[in-house]
Amino acid sequence: MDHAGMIIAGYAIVFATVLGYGAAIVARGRRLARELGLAEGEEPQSGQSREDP
Amino acid sequence: MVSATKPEMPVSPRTSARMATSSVGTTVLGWLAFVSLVATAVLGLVVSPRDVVTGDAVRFLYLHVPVIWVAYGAFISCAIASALFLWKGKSRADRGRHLDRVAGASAEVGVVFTALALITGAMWGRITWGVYWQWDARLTMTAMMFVSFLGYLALRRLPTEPSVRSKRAAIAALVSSVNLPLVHFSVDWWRTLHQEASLSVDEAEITGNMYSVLLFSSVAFVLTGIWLVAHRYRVIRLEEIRDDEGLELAIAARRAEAGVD
Repeated sequence: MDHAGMIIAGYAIVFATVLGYGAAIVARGRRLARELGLAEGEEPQSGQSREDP
Repeated sequence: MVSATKPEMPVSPRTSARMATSSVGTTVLGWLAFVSLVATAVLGLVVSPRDVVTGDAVRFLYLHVPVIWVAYGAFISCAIASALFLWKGKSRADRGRHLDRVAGASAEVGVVFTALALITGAMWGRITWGVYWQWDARLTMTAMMFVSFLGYLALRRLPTEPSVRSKRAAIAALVSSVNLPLVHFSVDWWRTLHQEASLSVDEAEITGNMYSVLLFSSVAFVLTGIWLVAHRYRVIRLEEIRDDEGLELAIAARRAEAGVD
């Protein structure tokens, strides 16, 4: 393959960015869910609403 | 200890968990996107034949074209949600917060994919043109679109009243969206170094295996883009809940300090 280094670097940058960004979003969602007591298996605290108005 | 009082609206743990992280639908979509991205890498690097003119550089086609399409789609979604927010937002039960979240999530995904389009385009250009960058109409307009939507994201982070911030952001999104047709049609309107569209309604510039791999990679990146927007939307929603709760707790604390019931 000609220019193999450049081509493989391009693929690596794209896939690493997309997967890294996706992982960061999921991690942030889970962290916020824990902060708010919404993590899987946890009951919301009494008197707290999680629904939109 | 002061606690915030809110209307009772119990939510089951199962629903809460779905709201917080993912649903069955987004989990399936996420796995589909992941598997199709892996397949795209194999198809693009191994299965696709060399191009007779550009050689192995054609392998950048399967990254560069799909990521800019996802960016276009995300920015169009942002523009539509912003226009609807300005038009119908006030009359909706949620005061347009859903539309504002869609706009914000779409714009962020669009910015990430535009950055990837600029990077892969520069690398492809280095091989075929001999330079990473040219102040060519298509490249320059794409860079302008990237910067203008970065500004939009910065505007969304300004500390101000949420409804004011949403309105300003919606206007900024519509102004930034003017770049979309300029970017897309720049290769037709001006003489540029950048090639014309690889696929069009009238005639495709590529055929055979290359065409199939490009279509497959496009589907893979579109699925990925939709999954990212869905999850980013949920994170914005959780951030709003956290901010609302923080505000209500702060108000309750001040009222308690002042001795107000």
